[in-house]
Amino acid sequence: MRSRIGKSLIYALLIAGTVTFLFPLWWMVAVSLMTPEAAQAATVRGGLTSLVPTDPQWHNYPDALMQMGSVRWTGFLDALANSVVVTVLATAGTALSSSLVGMAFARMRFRGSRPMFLVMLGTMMLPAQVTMIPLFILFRNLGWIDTFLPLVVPAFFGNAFFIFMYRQFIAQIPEALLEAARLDGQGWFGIWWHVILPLTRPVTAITAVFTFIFTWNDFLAPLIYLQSDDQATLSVALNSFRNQYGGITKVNLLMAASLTTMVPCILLFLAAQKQFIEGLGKGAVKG
Amino acid sequence: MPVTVHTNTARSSAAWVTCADRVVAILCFMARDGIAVNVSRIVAITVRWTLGVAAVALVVWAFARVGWRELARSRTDAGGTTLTVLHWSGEGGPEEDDIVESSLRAFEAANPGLHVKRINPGDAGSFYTKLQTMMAAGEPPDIFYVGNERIPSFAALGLMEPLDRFVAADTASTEPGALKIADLYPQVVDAFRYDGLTAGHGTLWGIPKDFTTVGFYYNKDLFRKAGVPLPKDDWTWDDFIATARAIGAAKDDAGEHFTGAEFVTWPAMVRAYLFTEGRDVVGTTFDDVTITDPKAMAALARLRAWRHDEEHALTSGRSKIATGSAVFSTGRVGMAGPFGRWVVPEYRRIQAFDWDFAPLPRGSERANIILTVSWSISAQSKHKDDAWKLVRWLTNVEGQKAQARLGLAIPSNRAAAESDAFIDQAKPANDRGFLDAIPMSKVINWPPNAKFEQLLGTNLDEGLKTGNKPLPEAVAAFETLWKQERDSPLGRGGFPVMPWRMLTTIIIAITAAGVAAVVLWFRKRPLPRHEAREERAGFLFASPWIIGFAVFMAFPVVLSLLLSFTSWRGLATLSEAKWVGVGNYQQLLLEDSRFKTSVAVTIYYVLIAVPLGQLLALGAALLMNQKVRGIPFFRAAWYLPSVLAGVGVAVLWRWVFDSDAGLMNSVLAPLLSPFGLAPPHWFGADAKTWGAPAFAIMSAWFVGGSMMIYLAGLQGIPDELNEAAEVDGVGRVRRFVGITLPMLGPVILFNVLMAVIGSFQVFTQAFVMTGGEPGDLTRFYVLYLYNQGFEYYEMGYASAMAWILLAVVLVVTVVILRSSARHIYYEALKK
Repeated sequence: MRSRIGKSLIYALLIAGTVTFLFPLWWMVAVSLMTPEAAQAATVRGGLTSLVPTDPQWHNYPDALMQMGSVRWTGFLDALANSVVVTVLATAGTALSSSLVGMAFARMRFRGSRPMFLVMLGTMMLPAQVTMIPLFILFRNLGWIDTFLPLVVPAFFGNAFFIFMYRQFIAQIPEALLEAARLDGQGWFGIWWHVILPLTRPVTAITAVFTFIFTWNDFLAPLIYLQSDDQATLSVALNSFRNQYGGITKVNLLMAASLTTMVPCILLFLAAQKQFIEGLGKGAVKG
Repeated sequence: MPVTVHTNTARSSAAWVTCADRVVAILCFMARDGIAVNVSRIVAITVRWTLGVAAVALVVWAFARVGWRELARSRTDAGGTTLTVLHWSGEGGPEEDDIVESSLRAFEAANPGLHVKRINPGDAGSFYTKLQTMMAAGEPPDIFYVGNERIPSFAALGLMEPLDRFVAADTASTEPGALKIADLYPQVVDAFRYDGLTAGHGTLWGIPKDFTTVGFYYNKDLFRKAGVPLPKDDWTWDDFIATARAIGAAKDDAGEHFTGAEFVTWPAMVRAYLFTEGRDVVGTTFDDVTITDPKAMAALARLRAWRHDEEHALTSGRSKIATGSAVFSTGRVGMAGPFGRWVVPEYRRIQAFDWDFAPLPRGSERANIILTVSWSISAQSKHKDDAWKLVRWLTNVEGQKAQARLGLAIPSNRAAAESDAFIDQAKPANDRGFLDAIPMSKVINWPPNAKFEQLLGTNLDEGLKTGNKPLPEAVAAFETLWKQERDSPLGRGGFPVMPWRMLTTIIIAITAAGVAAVVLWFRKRPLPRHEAREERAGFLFASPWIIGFAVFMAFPVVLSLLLSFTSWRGLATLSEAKWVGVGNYQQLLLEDSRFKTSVAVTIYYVLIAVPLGQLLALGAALLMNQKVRGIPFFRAAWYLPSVLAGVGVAVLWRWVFDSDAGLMNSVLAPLLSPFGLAPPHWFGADAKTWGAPAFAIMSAWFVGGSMMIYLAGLQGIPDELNEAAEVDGVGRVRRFVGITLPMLGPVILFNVLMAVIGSFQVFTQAFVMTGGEPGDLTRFYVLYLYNQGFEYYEMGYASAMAWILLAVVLVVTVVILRSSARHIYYEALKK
């Protein structure tokens, strides 16, 4: 009987949380399907009554996407392709390099690793706004302005946040597992490939999802480094779109465009969830 | 599953539940027999495969499209001169974008050998950020928009080319297409003259592309409903408020009051309002604050009283969404202003009611202001003559007529303004009202120091808009802060130029010496072979970060440290930076009261947001770790808000915390009213107490990220530990305290550190939602840093702020790391 009460409590909490957490999405979907007048009323006057679109305007979606950028449809397709390329490269680079460096800080003894680790933590604390102009000067001297390089190349040199996360997780892996691999004749690279990578799959999943979402939504860097119209990423295209339709009169189109740009992030999360759940090498720890 | 329903009226729902029960039973039966399992598995596999194939296809397509484009680009390398054009399209929308684009193409066709590259970052804010980075890096666009309020600061920095010689040559020339400055409204052209002290005289820095005067837009239907006469061009403030009161007294069919008027308190508009009483906030040199003049104070007090002492006459300013131009579109406000022409494209979409425009009412005199944007030429442009050709092309009669047809702009060219391109059939009917105000209009004088506008704006907000400070107090605060700014030793100048060459040499020398010392130190202490191999591998594995740090981190960080000792206007090139020693730090720690406010607000936020967020995230992760059915769905649902970003979310949250119609207060009000409490005006009168907590509550919505990290940590705890303890009869709570928490230690440390660091840097939400207002009550540290660096262009000062933040966070981190070292259990972390 007690477990039944416990279970209903769990469900009550889960459902209450779900309603709270899903609300923003519901609201955006609802507004994106409204007529301009209804959307405006919903955003300005509020009230919960207006949150069910009675007459869904599905054409808002093609209408909104078509109008992104200066050439019909081309603007959206260019921005989509650019975002995919930048995000895929940055995600792969971050996961690969951060896992290597995290392993070095967690498991390998080399002099200077502790001070370096502290410096790495320190780099996280510097607000991006301040390194922005020095970095711009650097990238300009490298001739990288108006290319994807400033957005992609730094990812291959690790990200302090994810290095720290890998390090925290790798530090917890039982030494016996590494020792076993060593006895099998594996070098450091072999241990990383055969032991660490499989055991840190949840971390890799988190890294991939977080990096993907961050890069996908990042606005300031593409705004600064990219100049040509056809180089814009989706977030930049969405921002110009907002300015062109941002007046509350077209908030429905704005929501439709915003939601569309979020779809890949949502799908990726759903796909990667399995990785979180399968857990930190449960089988290996048990066996 | 027993379902008991006690009331008769619920019989139908009981029937429904029984029916549902039966369906569940059938499904269970099918599941037992393996039918449903097979079906659902086939569906799941199909979905997964479809998504996978779609994702791969998308990636392949994207790389192909981008690769193809890059190839094509490298093949067509155009010869001749390329001019870069930077502009924004704001309210003009894609139509303005199209007009500029087609005008540029026509220019290219008419001028063989000249190519134009157009950059349009979108809104004015993004435009100025982009312009600043391009300027600072020494790669400015050849021609760009400049709002007349920025002319003094841009001119003081020498960023623009003086245009007088081009104008003189064109005036004398008979060449077709030459610009005759006499064709433009002289008052509008004068807005771009600046002699180093006052606007309106001296050197010409830009050619106006368009301009506007200001006034009130009014809802004709509401005027009819309230039975008040429509405004005339020479109406008075008494007429204005009488009308507002009459409309405020009227009610809609549901018995709800309308509001008389929305009166925005932007600095420029308040100054325009004071102009109608023959007053201004400062004298011509900006040393003498004249806002305390009795007549000016009386006018401001009158505005405050209309807004706060009367019901329904003016919007209260408490609400965050329903302000500015948007509120007019709702049809519930009689008048809205003072706005310029820029709202017209938006208002033309209004279907629900009829509207028109009336110029600013008169006080003791008729007055108005001119707001305008120019095309200006960069002082560093390599092709100034060609750039001038482009400027006059873009400001010619035909181009201006095309812009005027959008409704957005009033042509600065008199012939175009008087033509039917501007005086057209479309709304507003009173197009002439804009033009007739020109002779009585003034150019607003702004000082080169951009802080003036924000100081004025913030304090006026508190005195007039939210009303959470008495007016004399707000005015006094403005006076003190502006005086402080004027007297700041940093503002006085006379500092030596940064010796960059020497510094670079020193830094290179130090770096080389450091590297040599490290190498020597390692050489002197050789390790046993086994350990040396481990060390080599360690450096190899860490090398991506080491190299990345040296290139992408150390360089900018050292540069920003050096900059923190300079006075560098971030628009000029680095060579313009002046050495001020510890001047910035001194000013920040000892003088700057807004710095102190921002520190206090930020610490308040950190103290609330970190515990709240982490407890919630850990609790959520524990919940998500339960083995109950449907958990993947719940995990996804709770994580979803963390995926949502961008403008849509910002719009949503502004609405959630809206004082009057917001979701939060609609939910809270019925809960609090039994206790005699009312929900707070989050970003209004109660912002001092509730502003920062509102952001903390909002950040709790995004616990998904931390939750997922905790969950991954929980999943890493071997089940055996818990099972063994359970067998030994250890209770749930003790198992949590004794096993789960210690095992989770490293993850908790990670999440808490990240939360602390992230919370100190809270920026985006405040930037989008409140911009630091009301007053400075939500001006978080990094937001103030951003204001300094990117709005006042004080990059040196901003760098000093960044280094103070870095030091504080570093200390906090070390304290947390030290104090946690004893409590955290690592399986095998080598010390």
